[in-house]
Amino acid sequence: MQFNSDSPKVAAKPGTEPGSTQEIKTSRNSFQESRTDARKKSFRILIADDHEAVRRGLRSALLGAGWQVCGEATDGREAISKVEELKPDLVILDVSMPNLGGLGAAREILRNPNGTKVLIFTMHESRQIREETAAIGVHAMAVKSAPLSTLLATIDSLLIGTH
Amino acid sequence: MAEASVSALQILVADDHDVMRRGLRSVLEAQPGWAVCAEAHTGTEAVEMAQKLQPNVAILDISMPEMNGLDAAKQIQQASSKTEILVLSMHYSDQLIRDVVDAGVRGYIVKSDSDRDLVIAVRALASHKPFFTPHATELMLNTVRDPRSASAEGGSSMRERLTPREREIVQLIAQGRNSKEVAGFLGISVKTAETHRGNIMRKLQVHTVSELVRYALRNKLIEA
Repeated sequence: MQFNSDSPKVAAKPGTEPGSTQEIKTSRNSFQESRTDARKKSFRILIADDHEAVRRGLRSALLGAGWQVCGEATDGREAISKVEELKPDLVILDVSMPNLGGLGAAREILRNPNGTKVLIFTMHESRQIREETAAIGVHAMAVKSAPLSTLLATIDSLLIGTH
Repeated sequence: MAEASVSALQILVADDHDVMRRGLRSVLEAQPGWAVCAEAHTGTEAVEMAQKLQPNVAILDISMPEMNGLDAAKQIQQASSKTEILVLSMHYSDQLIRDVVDAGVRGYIVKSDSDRDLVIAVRALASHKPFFTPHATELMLNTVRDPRSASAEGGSSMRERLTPREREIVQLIAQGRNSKEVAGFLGISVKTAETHRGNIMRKLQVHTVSELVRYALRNKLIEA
């Protein structure tokens, strides 16, 4: 959707009179949504997971929610080098990846922080993973078995603090 | 542009993870003429949807709550004879390949296989041809060459002795449900659930729930 800051185009809902309070409210809400959408597009997210279908699913969900995906990695080592190269705002790391898992990659990325936030995306939530992610200092954790809306809400909260 | 057509390939996708279903849908629907007609979160839901929609292909994750992909595959074959089944698992395993083949399933890939393999597999199955990746085929051939490996873990022979209902109950117990919850879930009496539980323990020669969980893990009824 194109966003024009001078005159946001807002389609009035059927039955709303032009200039009515309801239309102004709708217009304001849509304006705020558009502003959030535009802000979201300015954030760059890197996805790291060894499963192509999961990467596809994440990419599709993130793009659908208005975020920008700047790259993909298939293991922890590639994630580290792409974080250095692309300097994304957020990296989503799967825990179980070949070569180097997500926790190892997170430790490495956060050793020399460059502003990239780290979200661990795990198959199972266990006390051990919670403790380890806390010790490493990752910014957030999401479980693959939870609905995608939970992951998206976590990202919203992490990058623009709307939740 | 692909024309919307009633003869489009109808695909059912069953996986308990939102992200995986979304990824599969995105790969499949990028193919002209292919449509994901439904998504299921559990094996039970997959069976119900397959019965209702009679899809050309059903893609079933092996580890799903309520009913695993293999048991769902068997029921779908009964409920919708035109549906070809593609089983998806997290990792390759000798045991699983044997179980897949024994269940009459003609397609099997793992989640780390590429999108290309997924598309080739669905295309083959849609033409009623089997599809196994070279790695899966190699494991199958090894099993044929060395039949001793088939019973090396003992899991297969024990598992054959369990009825589908008993396997369903093993899965529910391994997921932490007690007899009352199992009974409620399956719509049977608590007494019947306990009788099943007793029979399962006797058949598998296990005495504790943790031994039962290990059995379920070894046989991929639940994920570690």
